[in-house]
Amino acid sequence: MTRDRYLERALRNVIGPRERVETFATDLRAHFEAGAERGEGDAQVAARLGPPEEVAASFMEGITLETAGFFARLFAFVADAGVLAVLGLPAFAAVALTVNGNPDPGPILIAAFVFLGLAMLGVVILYFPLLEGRYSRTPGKWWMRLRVVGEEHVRITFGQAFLRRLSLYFELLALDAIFVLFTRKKQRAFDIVARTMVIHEPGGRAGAWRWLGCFAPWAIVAAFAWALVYVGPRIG
Amino acid sequence: MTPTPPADRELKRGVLELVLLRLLQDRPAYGYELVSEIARRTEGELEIKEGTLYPLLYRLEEQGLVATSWETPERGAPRKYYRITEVGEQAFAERTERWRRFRDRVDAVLEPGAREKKGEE
Repeated sequence: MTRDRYLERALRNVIGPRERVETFATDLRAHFEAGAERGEGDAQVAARLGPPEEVAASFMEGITLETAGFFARLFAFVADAGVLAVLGLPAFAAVALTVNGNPDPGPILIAAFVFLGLAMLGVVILYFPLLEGRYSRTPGKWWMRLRVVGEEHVRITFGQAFLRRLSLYFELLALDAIFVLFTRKKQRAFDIVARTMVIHEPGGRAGAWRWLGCFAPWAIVAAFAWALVYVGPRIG
Repeated sequence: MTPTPPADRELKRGVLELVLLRLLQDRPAYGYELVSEIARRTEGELEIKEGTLYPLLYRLEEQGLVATSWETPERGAPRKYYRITEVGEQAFAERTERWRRFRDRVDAVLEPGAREKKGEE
């Protein structure tokens, strides 16, 4: 294993204040360098360093992560739902414009309904799991400075990311979320199933303006609706 | 590969910290040097995954027991040297004392005939 590959594997499992993570990376790199000066290859040094995942875990033992509570997560969800609503606006506008003044809107509405259903499915399968699987967070979580991690404080897999979203699919959202209030690691029921938890990003909580900002996408939606209902008919 | 049980890991970590402080008493050293020294002086008995050394050193640094400084040798890459602090020296003395007491007591228990002795009391 080359040193770059080793570092990548070790660091992808590490969450912590940037400064500390960088120190760790620098130290591991220096270790390879010191080995090289003694004529050791990367593979040799890597073998002695130990499995990168284990080394990452030993680093994580020294980092305290704070679990995120119900309201911070709720606001992040409000922001994500807002982002999705904004993304859906063009489709909504397209349907509204086509239906408007159409003598037989039935087929269009049915098509729109099917499209909406598929889009919802897409959200369940794609938006949350892909973003959380790849980046450990959604835009809403990023904004609220939250992150999804495994119970062992390591990065979650796509499988885990998908699993923890199944409550959305089964429409158990509220019931699922209530678990956060009562579980020790503040986990949703499906967090427990997926062995995941949500933490505050190390190095600073979201301030009041970030909490408020979660409604920003909804402001766009509201402005759009206002335009559609009040402004539209007047020009039309 | 079976993972090390947590209790063993804790014990090993405590011992390693003690050994590290002792090595740094001799002279400041960088990570790679420290692992080589540990292997040499314990004759490979205190086996560690070298990558786990750094988190251990961070812990010592956080407790103020060691301090670091970067130095660039005439040839080669810059190295981070660890040295023991005043607080580290004190901690070393205390921990050594505690370790010896612990070791002696455990030895006494493990000693064949320890049970009989207790019976005599």
